Amino acid sequence: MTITDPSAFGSQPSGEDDPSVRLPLVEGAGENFSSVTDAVASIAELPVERTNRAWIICFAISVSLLGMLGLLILHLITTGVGVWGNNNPAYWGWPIVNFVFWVGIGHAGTLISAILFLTRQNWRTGVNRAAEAMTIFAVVCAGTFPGIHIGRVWVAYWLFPLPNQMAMWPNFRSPLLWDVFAVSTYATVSLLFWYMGMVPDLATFRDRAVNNTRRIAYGIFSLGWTGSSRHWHVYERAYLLLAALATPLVLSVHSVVSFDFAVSQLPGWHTTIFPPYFVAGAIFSGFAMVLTLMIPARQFFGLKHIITMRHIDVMCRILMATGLMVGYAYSIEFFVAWYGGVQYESFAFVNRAFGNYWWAYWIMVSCNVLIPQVFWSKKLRGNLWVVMIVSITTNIGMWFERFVIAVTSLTRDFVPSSWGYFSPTWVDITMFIGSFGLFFTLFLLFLRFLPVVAIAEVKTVLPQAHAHGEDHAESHSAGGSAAAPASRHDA
Amino acid sequence: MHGPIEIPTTDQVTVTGLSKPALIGLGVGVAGLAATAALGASAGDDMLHFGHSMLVAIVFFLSISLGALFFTLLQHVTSAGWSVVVRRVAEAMTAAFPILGLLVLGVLVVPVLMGKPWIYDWADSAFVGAHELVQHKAGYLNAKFFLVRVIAYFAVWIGVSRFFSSQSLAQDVDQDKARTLKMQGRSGISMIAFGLTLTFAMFDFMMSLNAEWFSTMYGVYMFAGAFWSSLATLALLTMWLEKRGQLKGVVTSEHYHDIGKLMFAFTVFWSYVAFSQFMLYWYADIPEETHWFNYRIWGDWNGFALLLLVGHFAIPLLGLMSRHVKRNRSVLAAWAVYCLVFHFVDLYWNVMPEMVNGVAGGDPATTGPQFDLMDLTAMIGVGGLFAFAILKRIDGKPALAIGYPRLPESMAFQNI
Amino acid sequence: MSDQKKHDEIHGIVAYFDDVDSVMSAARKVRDAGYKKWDTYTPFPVHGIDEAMGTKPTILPWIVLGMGLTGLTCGLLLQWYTNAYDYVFLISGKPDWSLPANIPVTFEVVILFSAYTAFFAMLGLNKLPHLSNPLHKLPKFSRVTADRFAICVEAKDPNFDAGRVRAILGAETSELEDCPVDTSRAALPLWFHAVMALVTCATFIPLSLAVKGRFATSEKPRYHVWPDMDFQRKRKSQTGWEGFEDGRSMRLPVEGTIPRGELRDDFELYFGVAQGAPVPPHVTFDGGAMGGDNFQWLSSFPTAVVVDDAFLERGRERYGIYCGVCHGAQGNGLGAVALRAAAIDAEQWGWVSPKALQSDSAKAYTNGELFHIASNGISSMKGYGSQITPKDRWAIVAFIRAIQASQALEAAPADLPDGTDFEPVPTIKDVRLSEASVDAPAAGSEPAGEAR
Repeated sequence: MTITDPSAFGSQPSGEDDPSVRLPLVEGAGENFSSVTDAVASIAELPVERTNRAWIICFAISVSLLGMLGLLILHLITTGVGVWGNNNPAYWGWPIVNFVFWVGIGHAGTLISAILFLTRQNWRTGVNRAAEAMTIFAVVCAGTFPGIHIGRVWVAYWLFPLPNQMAMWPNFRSPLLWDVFAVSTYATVSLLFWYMGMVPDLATFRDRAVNNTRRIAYGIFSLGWTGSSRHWHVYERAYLLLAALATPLVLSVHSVVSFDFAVSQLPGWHTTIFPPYFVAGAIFSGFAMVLTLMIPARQFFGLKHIITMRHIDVMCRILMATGLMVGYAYSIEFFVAWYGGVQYESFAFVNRAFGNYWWAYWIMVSCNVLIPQVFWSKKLRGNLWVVMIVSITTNIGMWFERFVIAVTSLTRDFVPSSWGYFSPTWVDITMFIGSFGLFFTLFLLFLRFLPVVAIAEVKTVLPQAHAHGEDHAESHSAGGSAAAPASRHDA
Repeated sequence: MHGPIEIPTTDQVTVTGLSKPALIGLGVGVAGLAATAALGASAGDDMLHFGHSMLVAIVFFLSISLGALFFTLLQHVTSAGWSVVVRRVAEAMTAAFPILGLLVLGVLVVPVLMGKPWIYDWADSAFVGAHELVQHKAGYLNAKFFLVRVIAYFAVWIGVSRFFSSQSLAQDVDQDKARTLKMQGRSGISMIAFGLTLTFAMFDFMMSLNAEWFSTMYGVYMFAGAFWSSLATLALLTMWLEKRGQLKGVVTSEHYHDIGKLMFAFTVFWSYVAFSQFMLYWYADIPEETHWFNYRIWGDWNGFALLLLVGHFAIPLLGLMSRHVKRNRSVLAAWAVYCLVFHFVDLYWNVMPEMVNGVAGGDPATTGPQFDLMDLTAMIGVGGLFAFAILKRIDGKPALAIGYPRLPESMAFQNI
Repeated sequence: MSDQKKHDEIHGIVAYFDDVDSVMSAARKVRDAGYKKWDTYTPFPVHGIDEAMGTKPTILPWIVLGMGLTGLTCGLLLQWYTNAYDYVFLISGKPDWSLPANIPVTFEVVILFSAYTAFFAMLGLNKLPHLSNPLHKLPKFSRVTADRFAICVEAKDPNFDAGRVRAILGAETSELEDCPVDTSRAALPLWFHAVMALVTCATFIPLSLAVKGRFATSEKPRYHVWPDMDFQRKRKSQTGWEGFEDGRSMRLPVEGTIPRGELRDDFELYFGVAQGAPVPPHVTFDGGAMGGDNFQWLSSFPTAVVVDDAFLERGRERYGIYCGVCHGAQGNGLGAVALRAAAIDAEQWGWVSPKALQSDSAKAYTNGELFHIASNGISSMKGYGSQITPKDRWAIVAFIRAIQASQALEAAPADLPDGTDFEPVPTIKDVRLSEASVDAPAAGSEPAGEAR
């Protein structure tokens, strides 16, 4: 059997059930470099007065919530952390829960941009830019909470190893300090990764700019990028290295977050599966948030042919897989709590499921483990309403997971005399809502003014992006050229 | 390479002439086991060393098969294209489950049923009676339930591996694309079954060696090592079949590059899991948890612990980093052998300190490693049987999934 | 000649293409023609173009590896220096230098260094940012970042020959144009320079404020960000308050009562004077003001203490804690404080050197006087009555007597009983004479005097 044209099995959009055929990543027969550029650039090039009304409404709401968050933070700083519900024995209440929640959401971006890049999951090109932006904004939200949790925010620099008037250094044996390093490294590397990926697209915007303000603004941030192949060569290598660095980083960040809990001796926190379990949970919640954001975005901004149903299908499957991993961790924890024979540990887990906070536990289990199982059905993966609802319940479930971990263990420790019950105050609740204002303000600005889709990367997965075999046989011996498109699609 | 892609004919890729090597493997295996048994019986240590050496060997080869099963499932669950050319080799590596199952029954389960603590202290009723914590788990760690679980594990592994191998072999003949969809459809649920059985099997076979110790991460730790060593074996077997001619021109350095990347990734993953497990217990410093590490890291086993740190993490991390290493067959082969050696070291470090612990009444912190010829003969014995099972599976069948619809994609595959 | 003129005027020759195949094929031709200063411009990274252009692999990975290893070293050094060397403190029973606990931060620092390096080395190797590029002046070139491809052979190339370049490129595409040299580079507006200069100056403001704060002195009280912690609504001790009749913020004990544990009825133990003598009302050491001479310093030890080995050992320990820093562990007056004071010549400010306890004048004191000095101080020595319990002060006195019996400043005393463990000790005079560094004798002979 001989197949003469390797691209034959790459581009024929015949029946999607045929495993020998890879569906095109960008839908629509007539897609080419120009149309992809237009589709993405036109969003940012829309004149201000013609901005989508839905965008304006969302933005207005987000900015008001952001303002509320600012006022609440002011209230917190001028009054003290007593405005929160954190009190003996639950000194870690909503702020830490919100912190872990947001950091977790921030994991999908780097996962999509780095791990899926390394594993050649080329479908990522449609969604990676937005997911990376989401990562950065989520990390900003996450950083806010420990930042204000320290009480005296004006000495927050004590968190870093800077010489200070007390001649003291931070304690590097504390996992909370590891967290400072992990989260700030993660924020930095994500920002570098996001910005570096955006440079060529900003150059595209610069070259399409119709007025000087845009030309100068995009021009400065695109650093004078010309699309030189010699630049691309170094650029691609740097991108690959950043991806290779970000992959262990993404594992390390939520592992370090889990160390905050797991190095302690508190029952329910001190268990060795925490690092991979937290990482799986983070990816789980991150993908849920990507879906929550991308489904409306593709609808409103006409990106349905770039962020296709196939993207959503794949992400649903990842959601289900990571949900199962989280479920695996829940069950192993329960089994070993009994198997280990430590009575405090067994009590902690029985208490989670049937104690004071049983409702939180069962919300967590149903949202994280049970509900995502609907994605076994291909039909339901294709129903955007179902996907939207499941992605939102997943986010709810993952928030409750952190709540269950932080609060049930703290309120039921070794000594019954120190048991308590945690109740959030109005500041706790409104601050959490306000953090969504911060997140969406940033995200909406991104959607409106920056390249939402990695234009250059999407172009590389178009069939036209590849030279044809018969034209340049000499390159084959060197082994350097022209992969069949299909090999670049999925691996 | 990018011109016309020649799909090889069935004859070109069919492996022949392995019946004799397989028989040699069987002979070596039986001889090795007999020698081990003889050495064990003459050692006069109540079969302790025999049991533990055999456990290391069985788990070593079992983890290779389990890793290969995971590899197969992973390719189906992700609808992967690049790996089609090596998947048949991975499928063949799962052929050892029945023979390994017999070994597990014979060497691990039978002594427990007889109440002999050759390997597992909890098989000894006097030991259980003296240890309250072990009594607590008697509902799980008891002979009958152990037998039931072992049967269940192997039923799942044999069932799943048979399904995927037979579907794949049948596809060679009928080229039916529906089989691909069927395999993909079943891969998800198989993955769940795999995850649970592997975890509990490793809890049973390995973690319960010290019946009082526990770690929720242990299943993940064992999985990391299993996949790592399995990739190494996959690379070696593929090279061997390529050399014999069956995979010549089909498998390219691109595929080795990917296997090498996975080996590198799992070097890091194993280290991450091993470090996390250690660090969390070291940090909290609770005696119920640290005793397992105490004699492994601070006692006379510290040389082994250091060897693992350097040999299982630092050296392969640096060694497998370069793309040239991963793309060069002979260099990668050397690294694959290296990985297998260190997987053995890892298992040896996990199992052997428990030999003198517990019922034996010794202190592993001061006894240290006690090498014996049995350690080697057990590996040769189980290895021989493992080779027999695999060669038998490969023999007379295509070494390539020639009916798989994504084969051309895999053959044309190139790393970016 | 006309070619030569063009060479001076143009930046290079640009050819445009519409698809990957044609630009690749043209790139091969240019490569084979032996040009060096030329480049291909594409809207996305084209697979295989490196080979078509003959681009050599970049050294970027090696730079990143190097910086990653630097990060490894820095991360470990940072944690060692801060926690195990410069500011050592015990926490949760962990060793000062806890490698397992240092792995996460070390890892993050490695990643941080490597990632920054990957990004900035990419910019550096590509000579970016490079905002003023003559190619940007070409209207047609702007589509290269969207959907077209270009090749530019620069006039700087030593083999550049416009005619030949046009011939090579012209065979591949019909769209050729000359790119003129950009002459607008210096034309940045004046206000831009002014703003940039201002911004640059402004960036120094925080740094200079920090430097000022570090080195300048100020008479103003420090700035209180949130005053409610610094100025709490409470009365501090020894201050006035109009809320009480007597105007004090603190209360006096009820008349005729003694607080628990404050009864001083054992004069020997508490004051070092013979029982029954009138209590000195307030104790200073210059005779007359003592409130009469009709009391007698105790020459033995109070009946409430038993002088034995344990008592002497207690005295040695307390002496090491409270006295040794000035008087020296051996009592010769060579404590770390004394040496430091000698080094900075503190006598000019009224400092009185700590007495060598083996000196004759010290030996001449009665036990009661020594106790009194330990309790209430003498010349520039402060009293330790509030810090050391009376029995411990007596223990110190006993220890001092032991030192005096077993050590002398220069030679052995004549009345030394045979077999006494005796050694002469150095004095402050020896230290000055030997011109040794201040630390040397302290480190060698004064282990208890080593105060940080």
